[in-house]
Amino acid sequence: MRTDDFNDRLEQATRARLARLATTPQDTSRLERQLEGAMTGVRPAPASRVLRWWAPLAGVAAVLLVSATIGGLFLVSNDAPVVATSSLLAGLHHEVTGGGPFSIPVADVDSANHEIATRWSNAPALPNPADCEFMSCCVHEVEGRKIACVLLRLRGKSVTMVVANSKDLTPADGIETTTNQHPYTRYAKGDVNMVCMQKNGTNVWLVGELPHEELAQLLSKEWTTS
Amino acid sequence: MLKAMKAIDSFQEGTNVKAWLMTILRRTFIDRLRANRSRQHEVRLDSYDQVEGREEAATSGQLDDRWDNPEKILDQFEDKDMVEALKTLPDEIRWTLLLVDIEQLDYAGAARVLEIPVGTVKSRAHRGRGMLRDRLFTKARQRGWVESKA
Repeated sequence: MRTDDFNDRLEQATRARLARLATTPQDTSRLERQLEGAMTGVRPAPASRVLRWWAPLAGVAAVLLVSATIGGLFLVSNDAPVVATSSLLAGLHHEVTGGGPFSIPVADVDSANHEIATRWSNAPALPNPADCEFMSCCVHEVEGRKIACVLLRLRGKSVTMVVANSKDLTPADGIETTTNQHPYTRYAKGDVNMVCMQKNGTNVWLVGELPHEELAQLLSKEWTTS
Repeated sequence: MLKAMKAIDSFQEGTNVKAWLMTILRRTFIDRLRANRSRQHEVRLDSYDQVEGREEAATSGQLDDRWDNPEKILDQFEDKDMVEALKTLPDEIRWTLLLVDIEQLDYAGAARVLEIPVGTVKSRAHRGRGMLRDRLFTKARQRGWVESKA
């Protein structure tokens, strides 16, 4: 016979696992575009009326981006690649560098590949960015698409590497440029810079506070030598 | 979402924005559900209480005995597994868990969104968690994470 304590423990464990669904990073780019369109469509109103509704409207916008995506888990499915927006990547970076509950300590690219493979059987191979120390890794899901996240350290700075199949996760619009003849896309969210390179059907992002060019070179060096 | 934008005039300062929004989302969902069902079979939205009551009576107290380490087992499930399991639950149970456990509304807030008594929210949430564990336990057993006990 189970005790009330154990039943409470079961309930709490279930609640905690469900609560974590709300913290899963979601691609909000489509919602953002729809919301911007809808807000643009609001007819001009007298100043007092605009001021009166601005705060709740902004609140609605913020909540929409969180709640409606969670609702989307229940109501919507889509085969198109998820867009890795700057918000999504910055959120992942903060979660990974904050030592999320799913982080697995790793020593190098081989152990990271091994840990990822046990959780994602068809995971693409992780690149080994030049001069970086592997710290931890995890497998995340974004709108049902698996992605691998790895925390790297370079000269005391944290860099998050995000690896996904190109058909699952695609870079957001950014500046297209090259380094060492490797094309890449760069964008940013506040102080967090992000670059994306593609190779053999795999998209790799490096996210961190290092300059774009430096992040891109970490990948281009590795892909030039491998 | 656009309904929320159109209904902005119905928003009153001091109202819980999340609850207000979830009410609109839920009503939109119910409207769509009713429209679909009117083209297929007519099923009352609250009829699950009787159906799931029977299911719960058939399983409760048996499966939960098998969760030796619930935190560890639940952590092994990916978000996709959780969502798939949630999708198998009746709509109103799923909404209750969405509001109470995922969106973290308090029971009173969820009751207002769902337009049901607080006590019903509590019982649905409790029952829903049990039903969810039921689905997840089956998956866990299939994956060899837990042993089958006689």
